[in-house]
Amino acid sequence: MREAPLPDNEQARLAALRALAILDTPQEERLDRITRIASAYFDVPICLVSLVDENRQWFKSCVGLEVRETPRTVSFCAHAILSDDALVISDSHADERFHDNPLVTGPPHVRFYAGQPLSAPGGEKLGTLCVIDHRPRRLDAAQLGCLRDLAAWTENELANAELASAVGDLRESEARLRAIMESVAEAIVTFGSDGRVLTANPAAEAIFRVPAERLVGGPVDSLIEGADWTQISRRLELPADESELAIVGRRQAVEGRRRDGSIFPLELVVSEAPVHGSRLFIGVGQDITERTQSERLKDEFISIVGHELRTPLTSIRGSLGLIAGGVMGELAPEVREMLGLAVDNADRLGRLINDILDIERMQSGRAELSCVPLPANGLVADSIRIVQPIADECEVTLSAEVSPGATVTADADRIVQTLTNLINNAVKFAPARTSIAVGAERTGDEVVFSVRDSGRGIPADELDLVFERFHQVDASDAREKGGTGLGLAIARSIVEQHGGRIWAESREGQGATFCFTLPACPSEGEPAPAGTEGPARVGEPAPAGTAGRARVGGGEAGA
Amino acid sequence: MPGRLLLVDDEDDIRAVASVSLERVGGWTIVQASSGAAAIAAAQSDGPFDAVLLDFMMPELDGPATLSRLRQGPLSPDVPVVFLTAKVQASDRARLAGLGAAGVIAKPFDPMRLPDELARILAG
Repeated sequence: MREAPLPDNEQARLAALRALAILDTPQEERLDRITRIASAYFDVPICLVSLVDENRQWFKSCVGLEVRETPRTVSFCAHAILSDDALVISDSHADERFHDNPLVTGPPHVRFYAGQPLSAPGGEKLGTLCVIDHRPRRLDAAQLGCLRDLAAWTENELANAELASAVGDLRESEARLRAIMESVAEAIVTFGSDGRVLTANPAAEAIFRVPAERLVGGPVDSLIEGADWTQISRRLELPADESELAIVGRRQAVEGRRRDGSIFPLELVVSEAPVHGSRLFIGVGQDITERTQSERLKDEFISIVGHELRTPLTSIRGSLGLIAGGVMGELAPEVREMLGLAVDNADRLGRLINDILDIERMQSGRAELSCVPLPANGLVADSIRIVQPIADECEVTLSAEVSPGATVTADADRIVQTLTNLINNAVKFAPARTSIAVGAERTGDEVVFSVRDSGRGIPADELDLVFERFHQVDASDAREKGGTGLGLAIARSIVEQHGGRIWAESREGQGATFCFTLPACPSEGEPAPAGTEGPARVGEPAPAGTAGRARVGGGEAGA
Repeated sequence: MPGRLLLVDDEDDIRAVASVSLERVGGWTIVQASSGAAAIAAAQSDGPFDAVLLDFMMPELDGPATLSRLRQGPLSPDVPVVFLTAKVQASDRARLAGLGAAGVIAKPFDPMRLPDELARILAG
């Protein structure tokens, strides 16, 4: 008997075998079905998936043998792994390498052996798929091909090809995600429910001016000025749609803190994802220093324009008023009439300036809202009081229809401005000796305000357009009624900024009803929505912590 | 009841209009100042005054700064100061009033009504 020499790459071969982590594992159907098929196809009593270990051959799958391993010294397969091709021993009795092998002379009486080497993905020969018979055999080319095919199948199973390809896919997708993380301009910082940073992308390093390795493991609250993890962790539990203090799912403006202690305006969105049963928070932040600066410039510009327009207008309107008022002496009737035109138009110009500045601020979202709980009846009464003198002049009656207890969360000045706009409009278009009903009614979690007139109404195709800037149903309206054409556009901006809707209902010839909704404020005895802590004040710093500074500054400086 | 009023505004034209209105319509005696510094000097040398009408936005010493200087001595604490401003929002008025002024009058103003508006604010 001749023992097989060790292959040249024996160490690498053993390492590849160990890497499979398959030795001494239970039999598996995915390999057993191969040996079953081979045994049937070749019509042999014995078929093995034999792996050649350091001192033994071990059978991952076997048909026709009781033992799971034999010593390497007597192994046929140890010979087979020396070559790329199948080792075929047609008759062991006639082969000097094997004729006195104990496996030939004793059980299992190997007379015929054909073993196709099994390679690891790196090419190392791990063992064989072999078929064994008790009588001499020959294999033709087709049978050898089939043995090769079955061996290739076995190799795939051994390398767990599917898993490997899945891992490959995962690696690829991970690389893609990493490339995205590394190329976005936003800082992406993930942290766990213990407040420790888990990962940080290069943009985070740049924005916070700290290397990622110093960020990771550190406290996430150190990145936000004035933040405190105890508070943040409580606020992370709040649902975004129910609380102003919620962090997850709400875009917010905070102050970021760089490593050197300097602070900068940071726009932040935090989301949450469950990963392996624990919670992962993802903070995406953007340094908005430049945007804030350009907003400030725009604010300054608007402030200056407002001042520069109003200052000469004050002198014009003032002098005209004094002359028209007869302060400078008696006037001829024609002069008085012409001066009246000048005064009216100076007033109109003043309103136009106010409205344009107003709508610019509202539509750019830079107007500050001070939202507090307000009873609807107070808002309606205040608005009626303001418009009453004009209504009296036009001989129009104003009436209030407010359901008791209706309370909204809103900015009083802005809502009175909206209601006054709507009532003013109604008064202008209502025929004399008719009445206008101003209503407020709680429906579900909102309060619907309405202003109903019995004027000429609005054509159906104009109902949405009336809220556009400078839109007039009739081109002559603006001048005739002294409006600026911006009142309804401003009303819409105000309502939308409160999270409400505004619309008009009308049948031509039967008057019009303007409606808008505001979020209702729970009345006494009614439970407040979870997570709310008192009246929300938009536009002010949130109570110490990270949260929302909806917007700082804005608007005009004084004159 | 009209008396002596210190009118402070850096715009000559606006001072001219306002003083005609306050003198002829309102019956006030007007002393004009064209800057915060001039207002402080006037309060020291031309007082006492019964009221001050003070422009909000002026170069160098603006309205609030002038008010705080005036309150440091030149002007007796019981003399009401009313801001004149091109700011129009009611919420702005509240904030301006918080600076220690008796009230706010918006620009542009109607000169025939200015004295009444002032009287209403001074009446509290």
